[in-house]
Amino acid sequence: MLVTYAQAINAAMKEEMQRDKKVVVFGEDVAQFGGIFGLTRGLLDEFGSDRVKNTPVSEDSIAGVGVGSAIGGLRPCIEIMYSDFLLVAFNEIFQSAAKWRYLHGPEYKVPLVIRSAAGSALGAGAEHSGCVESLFLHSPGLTIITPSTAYDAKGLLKSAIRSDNPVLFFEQKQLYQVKEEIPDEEYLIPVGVADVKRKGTDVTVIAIGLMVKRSLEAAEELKNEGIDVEVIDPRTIAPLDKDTVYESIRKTHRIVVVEETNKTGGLGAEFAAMFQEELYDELDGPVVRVAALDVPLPYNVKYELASIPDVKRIVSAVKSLF
Amino acid sequence: MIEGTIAEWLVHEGSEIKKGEVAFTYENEKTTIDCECPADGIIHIVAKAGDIVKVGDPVAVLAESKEEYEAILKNQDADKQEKKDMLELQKESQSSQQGIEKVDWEVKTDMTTQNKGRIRSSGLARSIARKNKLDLHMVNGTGPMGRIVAKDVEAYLNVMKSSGTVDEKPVRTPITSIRRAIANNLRNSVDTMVQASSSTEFDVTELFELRKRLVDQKETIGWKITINDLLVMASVKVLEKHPLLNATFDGEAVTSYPYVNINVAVATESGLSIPVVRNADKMTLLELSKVLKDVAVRAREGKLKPGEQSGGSFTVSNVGMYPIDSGSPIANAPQVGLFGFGRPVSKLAKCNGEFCERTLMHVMFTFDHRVFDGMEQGKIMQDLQLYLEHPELMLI
Amino acid sequence: MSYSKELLLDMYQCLLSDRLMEERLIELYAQGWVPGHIHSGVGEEASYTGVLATRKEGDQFKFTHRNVSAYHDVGLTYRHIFCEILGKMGGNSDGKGGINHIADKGKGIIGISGALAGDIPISVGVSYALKMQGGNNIVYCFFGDGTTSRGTVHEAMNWASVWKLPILFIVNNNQWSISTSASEGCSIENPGAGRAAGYNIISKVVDGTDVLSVYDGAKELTDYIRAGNGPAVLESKCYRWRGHFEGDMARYRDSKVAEEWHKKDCLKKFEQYLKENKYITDADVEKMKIDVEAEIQDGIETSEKASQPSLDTIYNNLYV
Repeated sequence: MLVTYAQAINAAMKEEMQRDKKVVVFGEDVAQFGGIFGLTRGLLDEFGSDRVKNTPVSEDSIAGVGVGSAIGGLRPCIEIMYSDFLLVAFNEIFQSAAKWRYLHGPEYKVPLVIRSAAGSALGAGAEHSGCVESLFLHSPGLTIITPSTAYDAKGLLKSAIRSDNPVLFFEQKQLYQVKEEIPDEEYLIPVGVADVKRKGTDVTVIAIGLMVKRSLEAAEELKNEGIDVEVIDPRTIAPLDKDTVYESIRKTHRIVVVEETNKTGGLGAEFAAMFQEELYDELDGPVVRVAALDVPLPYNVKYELASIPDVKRIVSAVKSLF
Repeated sequence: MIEGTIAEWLVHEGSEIKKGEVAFTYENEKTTIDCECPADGIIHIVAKAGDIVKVGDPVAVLAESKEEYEAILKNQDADKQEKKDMLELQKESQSSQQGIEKVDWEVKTDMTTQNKGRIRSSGLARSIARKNKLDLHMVNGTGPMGRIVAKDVEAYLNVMKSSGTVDEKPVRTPITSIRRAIANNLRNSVDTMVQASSSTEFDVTELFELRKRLVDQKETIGWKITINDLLVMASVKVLEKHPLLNATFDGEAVTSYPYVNINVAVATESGLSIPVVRNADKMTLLELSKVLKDVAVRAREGKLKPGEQSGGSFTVSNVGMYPIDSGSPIANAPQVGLFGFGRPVSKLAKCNGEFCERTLMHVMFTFDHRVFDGMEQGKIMQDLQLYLEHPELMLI
Repeated sequence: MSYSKELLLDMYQCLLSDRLMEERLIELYAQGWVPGHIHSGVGEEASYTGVLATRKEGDQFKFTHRNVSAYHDVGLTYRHIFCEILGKMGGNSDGKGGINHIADKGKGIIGISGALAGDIPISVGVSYALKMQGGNNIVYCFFGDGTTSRGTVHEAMNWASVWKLPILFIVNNNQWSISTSASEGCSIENPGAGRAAGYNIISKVVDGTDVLSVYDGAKELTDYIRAGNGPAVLESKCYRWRGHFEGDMARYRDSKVAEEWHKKDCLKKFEQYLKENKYITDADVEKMKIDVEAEIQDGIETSEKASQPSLDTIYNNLYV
């Protein structure tokens, strides 16, 4: 069936709520309104007000109540409207969700999914457009998922809801309305498995979220210049599927990381450090990062477009390795 | 929001609609939104469901009357032509902006690390080179900034393979610490001194005769005197007569020594060794011979004690056991001179007015030209000649 | 209110055990036995004992860094507690959590957030899960007067009220948050109960030195919560006898005030009440003391003998 990325996410929640009564959904404006991006539309009608609930404007507690209800035996799949607001709830996610099991012992599980809308939305401004994924890489215990297609989003969200670990699920605002054919029948995509979105032999591009789409476009341009690009979407950035990524690096020996996150301390920073440390002898050049400029994402759309990597920048970065 | 997609029209083309009535729904980057009609009128739909519309572009036109609606339908084709595609406009303006404005996102590579003997190469290139025991100095880098990348190493290996020399490549061996010390000393000598060398052939027939007689008496002496012992002894005698030669020079002052501490060059497995025989001027030939033997043996075994190679006032080097006649040996700075002895050769030479077979030997003399000139050099060589040709004098 | 003899003796048993444990922790800390900090709750035991006497099977508990002796009241053994304090095998986390994370899921322990009040929304989450289960179980969420100034306390109280969740917030008001007095941190008299009003939550202030007063208040509020009326706040007024942690000599406060509070010793008061009403004799008390001390001693000795966790398990329990 042809669905948008947003509809795929909605379908995943619906299917899992049908399958398991313990799955509950709460967050700001998720009930009657169906979420400001419309991701939870229809859930209240189907599953009722005990399982689909609006919350006060208390992000810290949305995360905290999420952790608690997960410890208490539910499988909450909660929404924190903009991923920028995850920082309001930083302590609950970074300290509590991530560490609870480690600190209290194996009897404790936190089967929590926090969905959040990430990235540029063209004119949404600095506190509604951020990509904060990398901040959470620093907290062992968290699973971080960044789907780039409707197919991946659905299969991964279903697996995330079934996971007994706390999961941060970053949805890309600019992908919400992108349509794609997905199977009618139920399917799952395992957490922690990367996907080779395009096979190639000359250079590996690791792209996250919206950047997967742009990297694929860049790959087509580079093909005309005789550079055969392999594009890998890790899909789960923590824990990273090193097997798939490393296999590609061992083949191409060149690597570019493309992300929408600010460059300093971003995902590429961590990945580059990891690759040079573990695969130095495989690298035929530096690990190149293509990332957002180190500015709070400006409001003006011209600024915004210039801040975030586009196809041109990806092409240029790849070419710098040849 | 810069554009939206028309999701669905809830009113029909040409229908009369009221202000506040939901006319259509559209999707933006975030969500689906109902769009209410801003005024009463008859609607002419411009953008179909599924169309992507830029903010500011018309989606429909409202006519106030039936006549106006008809007129709009008539003119719509003309309208279309007049309007430039907004999308194109934006593209144009963006590309023109990009022409003059530039965001600084280029990766800045440190260009200051110029090649100070370092090789710029990738990890993979190094790894392949290591596996093939290839010196990266041999490879030309064609990567960014001249970096040697994998394909450069592979190309080099392929060429080597096809020319069949892959197994005969030069071997680069780092020098030992002893060799490094020797190298540094020689470098220092050449850098700090103004060295000049001369070479003269002397008749050493009598010297060899004397040596033969001493060897014949080895039972009596209890020791076997060598030619080298006699050459060193002759050198010591010359040094006693020439304080300027038994000296060091630091660029400011010449220091002459009241004793002769003579360095003797000894070839060893790990490189040249120059043990010092101290107070050689106070020794008999026998004593000197024994000390020389002792230090030579210990130098070859690497058993010299720290300090046993320093503090010399002059150096002698004997290469007579090899087919070397002459050369320009390097002096041992800050000493001001060095004698080198070449191989003895039997030749016809004039002796007592006749040509007869004599034993001749080149003696090389390297000296610091800053300290003395040709005249002093000549006098020294005269004295050395005297002792070598009349060796009995050195026993006095 | 009338009390069964069984209830009174149970409460006394808990109060006595907690007192002996809190005192013993002070002693152990002084001997350098404890790797981390000890926040002794000596003198504040009634706030826990009186409340916990109202608990039912299936209830859930969120305790604090102080009064870790309360874990014993809900069924954890001293062996378990001391092994966790020492970071040894035999606790719940194999050396990863420590004194702030003593836990037992089967006994209804939720756990603790080391960043104070991070666990209040978590307790609210557990109460939501309890509500979804049906039944009349509740969450007992303990915290101190100092913690009431954290934003999450307010978010959580508001949330619990809006969702009508089965949770009792127990504010153990010992009047000090480290060296800051309650009045320096909050300008209303009752930082727990007073603020509850703003969230339309019912509350009671009880005398934390009188275990029966605490019990009465807790009983009334937990009955109210169990009946499906939503959350309540119980504020128990007592006094922190010791410094914030062992080693803090509490020189920032008037020692005369502390002496006055020492006279209102919750254990002595209750003991006197029980003796006057002929529930117990001196001999009973002596025997109970000997038994409790033996159990504590056994816990300490067991933990000392317990093995250290193996380094190759350091990554265990990070992910399921």
